[in-house]
Order: sequence, then C-alpha cells, then structure tokens
Amino acid sequence: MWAEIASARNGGSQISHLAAMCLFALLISIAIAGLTKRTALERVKYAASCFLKFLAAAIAIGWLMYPFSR
Amino acid sequence: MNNDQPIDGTSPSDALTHESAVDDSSATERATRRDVVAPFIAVAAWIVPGLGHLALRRWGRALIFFLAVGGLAIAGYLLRGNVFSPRAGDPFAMLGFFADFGSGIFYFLSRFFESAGPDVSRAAGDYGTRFIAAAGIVNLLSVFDAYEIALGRRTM
Repeated sequence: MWAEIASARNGGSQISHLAAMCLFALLISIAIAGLTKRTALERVKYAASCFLKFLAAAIAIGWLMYPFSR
Repeated sequence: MNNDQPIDGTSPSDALTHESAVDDSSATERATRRDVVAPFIAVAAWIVPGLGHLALRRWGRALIFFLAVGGLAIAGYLLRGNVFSPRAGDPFAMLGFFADFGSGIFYFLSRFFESAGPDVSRAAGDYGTRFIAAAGIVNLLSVFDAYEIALGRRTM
C-alpha cells in the first residue's frame, strides 16, 4: 500500500479507491479505539470491529450509489 | 487511662477533623497544580501528537496517537493533498486550515514531505487532502483527551 502511495506521489500509477479507503479506515479505527478503550485487548477488538464496520458501510454506500453512476 | 486518647489532649474527633482539613488542603493544592499543568499538557499534545499523553505516562495512548496522526498526515502528503494556508480568502479554506493546523508539527513539516506541492487534479491528491484534515482532527481529539486527563476529569 505504501508503495502505491509513493508511486502516486511520483505521478505513477494511482492508488485505488479501495486501498485509500482501507488505509484511512484502519488509521481512524486505531485512533478511536485508543481514545475510547483502556486495555490493549479491548483496543484491538474495538479497532477491528470499527475497521470492519467502516468497510461494510463504504461497500454498502457504494452499491447504493451504483444505480446513479451513469 | 484510655489508650485511644491523644497525648496532647485532643479528642479522636478533633484528630479526624484535623486530618480531613489536611486532606482538603492537599486536594485543593493538587487541583490548583492540575489547573496550571493542564494547558501546558494540551499545548504539548498539539505540538507533537502523543506528547501530552507521554507526559501523563499514558504510553499506549501516546504511541497510538503519534502513529495514527503521523500515518494520516504523511500518507496525505505523499498523496500530494492540499495543505490550506491561513491566508486563504474563503471560509471553507479557513476551516480546512484549522483542520490541517490541528496536526501540530506535521503541519509545519508539510513542505518537507510534499516538496513537489499539492496536486488535486488527480483522485490521489483529493484523498490526500482528506487524510491531512483527518490527521488534524484526530490530533485535536487527542489534545482534548490529554487536557481532560491532566485535569483529572477523565480517569481511563
């Protein structure tokens, strides 16, 4: 993923929408878990849960917008 | 002779009153010290993401915020996202500036990471703009969290 980002920086191949969204969701999930949970195990579980919910919401919204894409 | 009676002639209830007065004064001192220290903690947390929590010995949270804010900001710069300037004319650009400025030292390092400047003509640059703004917002959340912990309002 970082290679794709570096490549995008140099004007090479574009980072995919999915890769960018996954990276964003991962980092935000980690931050939210760190902010709201106390123990490491709780944080890992909550971050994983948030990450999966981010992905599920993004894919669901993507399919909802699909009929209006053309 | 009653062994519970203090030598100086004060009753146990007097001693308890004295202890609670000492506790009250030390609690007031602690609260005053917290009020003085908390703004410095907040400023430290803003300048370097995680530094406020590090000063409060919240190692895990310090590391998490540094990695999350740093990861978002650096990814945003590498994607050549737009960094808003304080001299922007319109209100939305000012909002963008406040969001970007929230990332502290990473805002000032934007020129280092983004030497070629922003390029929002491509989707990657547009993503980068969101990443940079999100880094600032997450860091502002960490600033408020550190400030609340320093004031003793937040125990976790």
